[in-house]
Amino acid sequence: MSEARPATGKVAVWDWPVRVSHWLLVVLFALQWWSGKAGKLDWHTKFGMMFVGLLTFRILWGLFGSSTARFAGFVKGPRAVWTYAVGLFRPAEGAAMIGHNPMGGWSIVAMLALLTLQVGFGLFAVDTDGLESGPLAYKVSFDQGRWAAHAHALVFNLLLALTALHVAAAIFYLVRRRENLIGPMFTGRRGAPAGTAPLQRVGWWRVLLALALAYAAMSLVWFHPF
Amino acid sequence: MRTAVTLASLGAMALAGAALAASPQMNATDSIRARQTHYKEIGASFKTIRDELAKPAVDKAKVQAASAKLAAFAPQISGWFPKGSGSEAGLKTAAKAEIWSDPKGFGEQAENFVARTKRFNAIAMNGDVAEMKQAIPQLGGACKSCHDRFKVSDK
Repeated sequence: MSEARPATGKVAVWDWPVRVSHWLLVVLFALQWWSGKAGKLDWHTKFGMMFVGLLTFRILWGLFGSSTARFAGFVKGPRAVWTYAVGLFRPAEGAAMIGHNPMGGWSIVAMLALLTLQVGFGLFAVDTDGLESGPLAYKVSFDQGRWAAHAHALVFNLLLALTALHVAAAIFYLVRRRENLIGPMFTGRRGAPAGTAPLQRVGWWRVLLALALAYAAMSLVWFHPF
Repeated sequence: MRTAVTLASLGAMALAGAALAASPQMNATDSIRARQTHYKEIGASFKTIRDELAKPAVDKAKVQAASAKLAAFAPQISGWFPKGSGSEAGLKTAAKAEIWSDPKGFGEQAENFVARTKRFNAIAMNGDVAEMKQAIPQLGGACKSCHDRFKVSDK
């Protein structure tokens, strides 16, 4: 196979809401891991509330944000996933598309779904001593709350496994396919063949809307008026 | 005649051995199951107290009933851990081996729980909601201090 590739340049691929969301997720996940294991459940609850806001924001952004943020843009059917997976082990042909590929797209969905489940279970979880429980645990029985706590622990392990896979994938791309995916998640720009269309941005009022709704979600959970 | 005596002796030994092997094992697993049920009841009672005290209008009778339950269970705890009812019994249990290797320490924790539940029960009977709320951390702390040392952590 020819090693020559078409002329490449830098193209904008991730807007800042996507990038900030991504790295905030990383930081919050690490903080939750530490606070959960260390038994600092007052902090764990606070960070959990931030997770409610962050997940709400990112999911909304996936509905009406920039082109590469939207689920509609990267969630593909099984055939597209298979074709892409098979193509991964062929020589790199240079990315003609930007944003999440069909496999990565599904891992994003899985990650957001698991994180949402994790927060959900945590809200109702009852600690073994009954001293520290999730903010909504008063709504359920002791047994139900303990079940939620065990589910919370199980989903945590699933998240760890998925995160490990996620990191391994990034390394795979870097080493096997000479595609640096980590840099672009910081800078927002990646190398691409000349002529590749960049992301389509959307008005900043949508950021404000997503932030407002995220704040509303946090308030709903915190004050639980239901 | 000799064969009959031999067979009878062997049979008796087999029966005796089976009986010896069976009884401690059955006691141990029954103990494990019983205490797990009781601990869940303790947890549920504590949760009832906390949830009720967090409400704007506190149902004191509910708190008092749950508190009485705690105070009734507490003195029983030291009897819930007969020798052989740790993980060696073959049933899943969070009881750590330290319970039997440090009986003095475990006994102190059990007594502490008796004292704290007794104290909380008295406060609950007095009917002062503010006093009850103030006493919660100490009560929960009694659960925690024993668990920290003698219960396998689920974290």
